[in-house]
Order: sequence, then structure tokens, then C-alpha cells
Amino acid sequence: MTFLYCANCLALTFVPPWILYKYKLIEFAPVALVVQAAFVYAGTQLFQMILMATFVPSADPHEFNVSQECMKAFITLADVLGLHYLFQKRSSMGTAAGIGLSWSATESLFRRLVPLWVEARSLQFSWNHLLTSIEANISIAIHIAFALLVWLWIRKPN
Amino acid sequence: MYGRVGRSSLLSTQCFLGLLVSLPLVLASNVHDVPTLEAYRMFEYDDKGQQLGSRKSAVNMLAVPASSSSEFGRRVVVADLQDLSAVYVEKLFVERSAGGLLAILPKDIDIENPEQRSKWLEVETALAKMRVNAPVYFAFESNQTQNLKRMLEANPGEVQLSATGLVSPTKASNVQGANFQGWLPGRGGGEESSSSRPIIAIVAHYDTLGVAPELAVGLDSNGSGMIALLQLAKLFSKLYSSKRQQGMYDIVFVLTGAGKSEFTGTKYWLEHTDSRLLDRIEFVLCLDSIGYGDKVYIHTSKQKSKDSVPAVAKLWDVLKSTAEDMNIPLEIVRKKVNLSDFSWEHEQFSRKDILAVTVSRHSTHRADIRSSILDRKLDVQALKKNILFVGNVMAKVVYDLKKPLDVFEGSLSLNSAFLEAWAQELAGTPRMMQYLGPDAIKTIEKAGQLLKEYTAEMTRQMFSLGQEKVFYIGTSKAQISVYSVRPLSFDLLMSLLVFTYLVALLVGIQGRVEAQKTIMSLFQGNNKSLTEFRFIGVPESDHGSDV
Repeated sequence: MTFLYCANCLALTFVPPWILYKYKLIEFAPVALVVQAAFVYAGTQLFQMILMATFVPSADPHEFNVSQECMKAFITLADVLGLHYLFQKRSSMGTAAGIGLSWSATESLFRRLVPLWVEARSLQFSWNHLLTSIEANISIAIHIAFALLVWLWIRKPN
Repeated sequence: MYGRVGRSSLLSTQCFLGLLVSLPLVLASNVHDVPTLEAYRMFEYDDKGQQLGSRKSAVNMLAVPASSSSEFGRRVVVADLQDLSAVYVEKLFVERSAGGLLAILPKDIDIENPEQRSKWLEVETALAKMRVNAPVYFAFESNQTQNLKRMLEANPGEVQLSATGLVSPTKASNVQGANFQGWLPGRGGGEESSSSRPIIAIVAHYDTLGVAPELAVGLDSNGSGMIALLQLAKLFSKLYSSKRQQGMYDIVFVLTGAGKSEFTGTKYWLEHTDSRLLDRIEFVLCLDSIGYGDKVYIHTSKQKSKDSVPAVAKLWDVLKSTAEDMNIPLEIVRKKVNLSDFSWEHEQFSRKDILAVTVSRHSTHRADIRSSILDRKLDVQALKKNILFVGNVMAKVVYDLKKPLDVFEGSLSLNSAFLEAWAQELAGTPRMMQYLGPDAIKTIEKAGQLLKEYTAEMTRQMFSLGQEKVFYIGTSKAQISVYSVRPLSFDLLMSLLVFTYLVALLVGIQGRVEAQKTIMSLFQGNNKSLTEFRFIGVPESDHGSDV
């Protein structure tokens, strides 16, 4: 019954964003904006990957290097740039939350959909897939909170 | 504004592509390794129309320990040697209708513990004669099997065995075999057909038998006979290479195939060899299982009353005196030929009225180890001694020696390295006639080539095996993956929890009353709610939220 397990994991990963959007955020964030946010998220991630590959040469994850860790943290700030770009056009709190939701859903789509589809259907049982799905839910909260934070920060000067 | 959005979305498309390309990398690091163990499938054959052996090969079932009292149907029973016995195996498949058997054998089962050995032989013999309507696999103890046992102990009912990439067994009709015959001329040389010297024939079969074809390396039966034959050919080719040392006899070495199938190869050789050659044979020494033991048994089908016949008396005398000189206990075992069941190779010769004996370490033909997968080792020292015995017997006849046996010394002494190298090679090549793989054929051809090198004339005979016993060939060596799985109840419970969580989320967003309505509308006819959405005018909402 591994298919049921896979279905459970997928439901746990993708239904919450759908519920949130459909019953809460749909009035603040139209579909076009959500799709645009998804594209911007993908772009930002790619940009970060390129920066990482350029400025963080060490591939060894066990090695701790202060300057590299700083660089990594700094590169992560590229997310702010992406959000900043999106907030230029529209800025209400609901929109910001919608964009955050879009980002987390996009992340799940890219990072979790295929692994779950490929592995959770395999005979081998692993708690990891369930953890991945739970992580997706936490990531929704994190992304929305982050988006709201950036929104607040940009809004302040007005 | 429009232009800007368009440009950015074009850029984003490239980003998506980039992410898609990088996706497999992320995946590759996440794939879980499933422990896999190597297992050997039991054979499957039809004996005169009777279906025997393991009639199924597919494994995709939950595993269950042999000690368990739970249901065995559609389960693979994982059993250790101590769990098994002939009675248990019978019960397993007949009464408890087990879905399959994975027997885990100790790594060093053959000589370490004679008790274990006899126990396994009992099981193997019982299995080989049974019709098992389930897959049967054997594996040797390893880290993987221990891991499997640990998993079974910790979570019984949550371990699934699955063999992938199995080739479904098909009938192996028209199996070909080969005999190799090497002829070494005695004093006078000449052509084989024109020679009139008497002949001594040394015969050994090279094939093996075992319940799992891929494990049937038969090092003692009859790897030892095969090695001995090659070694003797080597020694006598050296002796006969100088004219002064050539004896009054021709020597014929015959390496036969299909020995485990009623000596079909030997029979074919007898039927297809020039009768003038056969007529000149003074006696035949068949070598079978001489890789162990201190005692030598001479098996014959000659009655005691024939002992006064000069040729027979002479052979007995030579055998006995050589054994005495070498301090080897020797016993002559007499058994009538049963035409429907040949148990020793010499019986094929006896049927043609050629004086023949089999030299073996076994006191009886009912030694099950001769057709067991446990026959995987031999004692080079014992083999050496037995080869020396046969060599001395031959030398005594060929040179008509009376006493001192100092032929095989100095440059003619036995070479342990040669024996060991061959033992090692044969230990790695299962040689069951119906399942001969390319490696095994290569090894056998190599032996044939060696025979060609050592003798003046080598002939290779091809023959077909009979159709009475037809084996099925498929995957003999399988990879069985050990999955840890959860029962259906676990998945159902999880579904319930996920559903509860989602409902709670909805309630949290909409409040209880609204959420109840939403859920009702979802369950009361999807179509209606869908058309409703369409009229409201947000058709993309379903798709849009997923992105």
C-alpha cells in the first residue's frame, strides 16, 4: 500500500497551500500575481545558486569556514531582493502573504514533488517522506512570515 | 509595463529549465539504499513428465521467520539450517502452504560440522525430490542476511522480500554436452587405429549436480576426478615423451560430460568409439570423489566368482599391492548394475563387458554429498595421495613393475600448485550440465585443450542429453531486495491524521460553520461545486494555487 503512503504525503504537502489560498488569500492575491511570484522565486533561487557556485568554492559540507559561512548567509539575502521586486507593484498585507504562500508552494513543487513521487511509491518505507511533508507545512509559515517581515520593512518609510 | 513582465517571464522560463536540470542531482543524493542479498534459486525440472523442483520463481512477499506460528501463506519463510529438516520442509509446503522459502546456510558448512552437514544433505535430498509450488532460494550467511534476520526480529510483518529482474524459467530442450578423449601411444607409436597395444583408460566426468545450479561447483564430485585425470595425463605425457620410458600400453584419458545424468556422456562415448579401441582396453579406472579421506574404495560390478579370471585377478592384485605399498587402506565394494539407475561411471563399461572399476573415497553410491551444493572444497593433500595411488597402479601395469614405487619422484613429482590452481578455478565454476554458463564452458574447454597438449591425439565428441529429465533455465542467481514496509493499517491511520489536520486547517481559516459548509459542498457532488466556480469566474484557481 505504498501508493496510499505517497498519496498521504502529497496531500499533506500540497493541500494546505491550496486551502490557504482558496479560502483565505484568493481575494488579495490574484492568480496572475501568484504565478509571477512563483517565477520570481525560481529566478531568485537560480541567482543564488549561481552566486553560491561562484563565491563559495568549498564543496565539503563538513568543513567550517567563517568567511564562507558569512558569504552563504549574505547570498541568502537575495531573497529580499526578489521580494522587494514583487512588492514594488502591489503592497497590501494580504498580497504579501499571498506571495509568501506562492513561494513556499513553488519550493514544495521543486524540492518535494519529484522526490515524493519517485521515492514514496517505492516499497521501502521511510519516515523521511512524512518529515518532508511536515517540513513543507512549516515552510509555509516561514515563507509567509518572511514575506510579511520584508513587506513591513519596505512599507515603513511611507 | 507589459514589456517588462514579458521579459522577466522569459528569463524565468530559463530559470525553470535550470532548476529542472539540477533536480536529478538533488534526487540522487536522497535515494535510499535498499539492502540487497544474493540468493540462488532452486532448480526446476520434469522427470519423465513428472513436474518436480521449485515451480515458481517470483518473489514479492512479506517475510516471516521460520519459528513464527503466524500464517505462512503468501509469505516467504526465512529459515536457518537449524530450523530445517526434511519433515519441516514437507510440512512447510504441504500443510502450511508457505508462499516461499529462503534458506540461509552457514558459510562454512561442509567440513566444520559433520552433524550440520548430514542435516543439510537430508534437507537437500528431500527438496530435490519434491514438487514445490513456491519459490525456493538459498543464501549463504552474510552481513545482509544477518541484517534481514535482525529486521525480522525487530519488526515481524514489516519486512518484504522482492526479487527483481528475474528471467522466467523456460525448458532447456536439446542440451549439448562434450566428451574429450586423449590418446597417449605406448612403445612403437603409430596411429591410434593401427596400434595393437593394450589400453588402460582413465575416465572422469566433469559435471556436477546440486539443488541450486549456480552453487553446484562439485569440487569433490567430480572436480577431484577431473583434476586427477589432468594431472595423470600430465605425468604420463612426461613419462612417455622419451622413447625409453614408453610403456607397453596405450593410455586413453576420457573426460566425460553428463555424468550426473546417468553417465550419458560415457554411454555416448562407448557407443561412438571405434570398437577396435574398446576391444583393446584391458581395464578402466573411473575416478569419482577422491578429494578427501584416507581410505580408498574400489567399486566394481564384478561378481566374486569372476575373481579367478586372469585379467580381473591381475587388476585386484595390482590395486591391493599398490595400496599396501603406499599404506592406504583399500576395500573392494561390489554392487550389481541396475540398468535403470547407473550410480557409478564404471557400470556403463561393465554393461559393455569391459573390465572397469571406480576409485572413490565413498564406501557407497548413496553418498548424497556427491550431488550437493555443499561439495565446495577438497583436501589437496588427500587428492595428491589418491592421484599418486592411481598413478602407481598405472605405472605398475604399464611397466610391469614388481616392487619399488619410485616413479613419481624428482621431476615427476606431483605439483601442488597445479592441483590448487585447478581446485580454485573449479570452485568458481558451477558445472551443472543443463546450466553450463560461458565461464564453465570456457573452463571445460580449457581442460580439453590441456588434454590435447598432454596427449598425442585429442578428440572432442559432442552429444545431446536425453529428454527424460528436462530442466528449466531462468535466473539461477537472483538479487533479493529487503524492504522495510508498513502494514495497510498504518497508511489508513496516517490518512485519517492527514485528513483531520486539513479539516482543522480549514476550520481555523473559515470558522466552524463555514468550514462545515465547504466540506459538505466538496462531498455533495463535485460537479455542482465545479460549475459554481465557473460561474463565479475563477476557473484557474485550482491550478494557480498549485504553482
